[in-house]
Amino acid sequence: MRVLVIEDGSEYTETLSRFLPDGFDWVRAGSGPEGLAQLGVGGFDAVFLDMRFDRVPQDQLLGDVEATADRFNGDPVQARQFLEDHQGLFVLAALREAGHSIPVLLSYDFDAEPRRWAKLVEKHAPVDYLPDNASPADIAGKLHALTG
Amino acid sequence: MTVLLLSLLVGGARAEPGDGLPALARSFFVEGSRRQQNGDWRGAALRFEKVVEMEPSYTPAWCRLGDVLAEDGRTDAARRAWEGGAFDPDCVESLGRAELDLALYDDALGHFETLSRLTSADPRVELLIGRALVGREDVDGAVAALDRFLARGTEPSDDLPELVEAIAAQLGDEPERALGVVDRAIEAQPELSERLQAVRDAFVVEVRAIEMMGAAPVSLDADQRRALEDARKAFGAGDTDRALALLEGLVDRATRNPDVWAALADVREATGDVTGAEYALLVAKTLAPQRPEIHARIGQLLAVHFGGRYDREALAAFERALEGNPDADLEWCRAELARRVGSFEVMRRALEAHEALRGDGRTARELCALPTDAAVLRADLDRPRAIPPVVPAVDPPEGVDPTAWLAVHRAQVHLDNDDDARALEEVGAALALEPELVKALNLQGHLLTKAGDHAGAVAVYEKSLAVEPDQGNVMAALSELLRTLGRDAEAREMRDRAAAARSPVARYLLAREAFDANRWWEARDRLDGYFEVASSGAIHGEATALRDEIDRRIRWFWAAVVVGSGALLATVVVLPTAVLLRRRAGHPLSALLARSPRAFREVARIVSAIRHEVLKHNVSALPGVADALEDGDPGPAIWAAERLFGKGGAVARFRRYVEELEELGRAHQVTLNLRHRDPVFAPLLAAMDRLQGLEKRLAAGTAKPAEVRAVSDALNQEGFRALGQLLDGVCVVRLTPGVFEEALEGVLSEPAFRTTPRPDWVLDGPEGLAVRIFRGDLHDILVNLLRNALEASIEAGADRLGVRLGLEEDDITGLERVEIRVCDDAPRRISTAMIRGRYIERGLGLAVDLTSRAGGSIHVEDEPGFSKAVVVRLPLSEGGST
Repeated sequence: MRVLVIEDGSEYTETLSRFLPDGFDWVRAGSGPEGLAQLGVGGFDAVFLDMRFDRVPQDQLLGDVEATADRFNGDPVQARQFLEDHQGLFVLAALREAGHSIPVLLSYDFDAEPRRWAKLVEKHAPVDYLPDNASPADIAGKLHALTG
Repeated sequence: MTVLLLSLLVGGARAEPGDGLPALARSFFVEGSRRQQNGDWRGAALRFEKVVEMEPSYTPAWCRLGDVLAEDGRTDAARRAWEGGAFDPDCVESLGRAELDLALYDDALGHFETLSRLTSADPRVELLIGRALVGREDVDGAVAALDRFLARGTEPSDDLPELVEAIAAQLGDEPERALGVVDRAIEAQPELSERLQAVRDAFVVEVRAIEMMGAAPVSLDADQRRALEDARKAFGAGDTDRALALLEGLVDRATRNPDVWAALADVREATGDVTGAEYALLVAKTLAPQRPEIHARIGQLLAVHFGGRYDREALAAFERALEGNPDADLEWCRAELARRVGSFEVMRRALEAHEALRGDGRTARELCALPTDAAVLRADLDRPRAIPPVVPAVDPPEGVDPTAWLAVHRAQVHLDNDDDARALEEVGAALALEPELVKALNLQGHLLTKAGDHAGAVAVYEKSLAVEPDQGNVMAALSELLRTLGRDAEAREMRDRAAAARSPVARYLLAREAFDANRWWEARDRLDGYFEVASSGAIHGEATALRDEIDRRIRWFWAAVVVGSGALLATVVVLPTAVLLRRRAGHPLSALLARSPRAFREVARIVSAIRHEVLKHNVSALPGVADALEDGDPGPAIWAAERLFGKGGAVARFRRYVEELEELGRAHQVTLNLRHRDPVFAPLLAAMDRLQGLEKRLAAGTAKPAEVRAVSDALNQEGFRALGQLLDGVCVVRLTPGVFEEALEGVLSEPAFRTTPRPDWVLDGPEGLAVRIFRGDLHDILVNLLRNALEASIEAGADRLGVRLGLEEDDITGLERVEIRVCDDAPRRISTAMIRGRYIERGLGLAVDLTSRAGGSIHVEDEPGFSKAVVVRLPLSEGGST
């Protein structure tokens, strides 16, 4: 299975390549725009998508800082942080808007937010999530289930 | 050429020949017209000459003859031909235009005056007269002609922009007057705005630059800053007499500080001294012309308190406030004022902007509306205006070329307009004249920094410091650049120098650094240094909050020392017993949270960091390690050991966070015993100890898979979940009616409201909502908003308050926010922009700070059934609990 890992660091790619070398081909994209470009080339079975992107430059963040600032009393710093903290969902929305129906596994814990998650699934399926502390084996299982 | 072309078009539009011409003359005229249309000027001229020979009184032929001769370049002959049709308006106009082209302005003026008589004073002729007068350098006459046209002329004319541009060019040294001319023309014929925009922009920059040159505001010293803060607090608490006394005293001592004048305006308005408030705002505007909130306040004052007599000025003030500062409420006011002065096109554009910014059509009806009480309105009609203040402008520094000085200020205006390219051009022009002009060098450094040319910016700032060494803020900027370039040691040294040179930014950063390292006394001293040199600015709010936090921690520390000293003595005497009791001593984390609600924020930060930094990406790899060990592969275990136990590894980081929590507890006089008494941390610490015990075997690849799995479960499953629940517990408040009742009771028990009857109280909205915020912060926000609403209601004679709850959802993230709408029936005198600008210090600044920290927002909105609502939006906690 060829999986595009979209994350701002390289921890997931490193860990998954080390612990799940067999049966998977992990390819890293360092930002939303980079991920969209790679998906455009094609050849992936699934996407593993981090949620927080706090190590990418602003021009690599999807979403409009100025428009978002109104949520935070006009504070652009908080707006940028909001985009960073939820960047995974901006990437997900962008790749669906670009017409990619590929299965996506989000690295985020939605256990405490079932209503929000149900709405996201309705909008973006096929999609699933795993919390931050998921083990590589959990990730493999979810990916198989998603692409199965 | 343009004039001649226009002449041709005018000629081409003339009536077809020649009822009344004999047949032969008519055939020449028709043929001449055909050749004219085909551009055969000579052929046409020959035919028209034939016509005028045969019928010298037929003036259209003279006119056409003049036109084609002019096209053929025979100007003198053309003028003679037009003179042949001396009483034909077309000929006279063509003649005058040709004379304009030849710079024969006296002749042109004479012909245009004739034309005016021939056309029964057609307003458009005023434009031609104006152009001739400009040519004669009679700019006052030209402006008068333009105004006569604008007063009478409604038809579009290409001569209007020509005249406006010509007048503007002559008024180069009176940019404000030139700007007025351009604005009047645009207002009369909005379709010209595109063509005249470049002219307007140039004068706007010039006017702004001159304003800035004369402004030269000064900062407050430490005593003055304290006095300003005291005045704001007194005003916020309703003690206007004291606030007024403090501020009136302060303006005598700090005459060139705009913050003091603006605060004084607020207080004077509140006491009914509107004229005095206007005067104070005009001074503030002169000292800080670039600040939109001051223009907005002027607009509001003029719109509300003068019975509509100065609506045009109010409109101009709102338009100025909106330059580069989009704001839905101010757009509403612009629309309202435009409606009142009859500028419906402006009104339409303002409403469109208002809707685009807000989207839901809600409006700020009270913000700039006239009073509805007849007696008040009548009194407003007699209200005197303030005499414009005389604030002495500041001359360029001695020996500096005034052209360079103006260029620097133009650059500053371009920078404010986000036009960095033109700003750089102007700075370059200034430096070409004055290579060591510090203000220009500093602007250039700033612009290069913005453009990402850090090395270039460093060179410029270094040059600036070589010219004028004692510039703290330049050193601070240089320090940041050096840090960006990886020159850390130089950056640190430069920041210390900056602080010594009174840079507020450097002093604040050093205080923050000391605070983050728990060096509270040093942080306090450094922050005192900050307050010595700053009274406002982008970081002022943060600095104020930091000072409160430091003071709190130091108080707790001394209290802890007193307790701790006694404990030390006891420990020495009864050490063995203490050791035995150790496991039972101390408290769980919940004790700290219960005793010091303000510690919630720090606790949440640390717990969140443990979840994110320690467990994610690190401990979560342990199940994979166990699987690999089972398969006989030691590689992952060796790799994991490096990540977990190396310097700065996950285990060391976890222990540092635990120590930080314990230190936090001590600062709040709570001795924590996380290892033995805390239901979340005790198992986590034990599991971490077991993990530590595996260090050598993991590093050797000999650990048993089962023991690795057991430790992993304890950390990744139970530990992770428990920390999450702990976070929810400290950060989530369920919005029960009691939360709001408690806040209202708190307000009503304040001295100012003890005799106030309890207002009618409306509380509605969905039940069971919970928000992500610290309980104490939410309480403070509600108290502030309710206090403000109650004060305003009392002033307005209203006796009803309400709190309504609602939900809104973000389209992309699916995150929901709870709306807490604090409603009242008092007139609306504040806007969202003003709240955010902290302009009116009625305690709302605190509410804004606290909602911001919780990731929320505050707006002022209209509210069905009430006059207005201050709306706090906070993140929903789905299924959260207290």
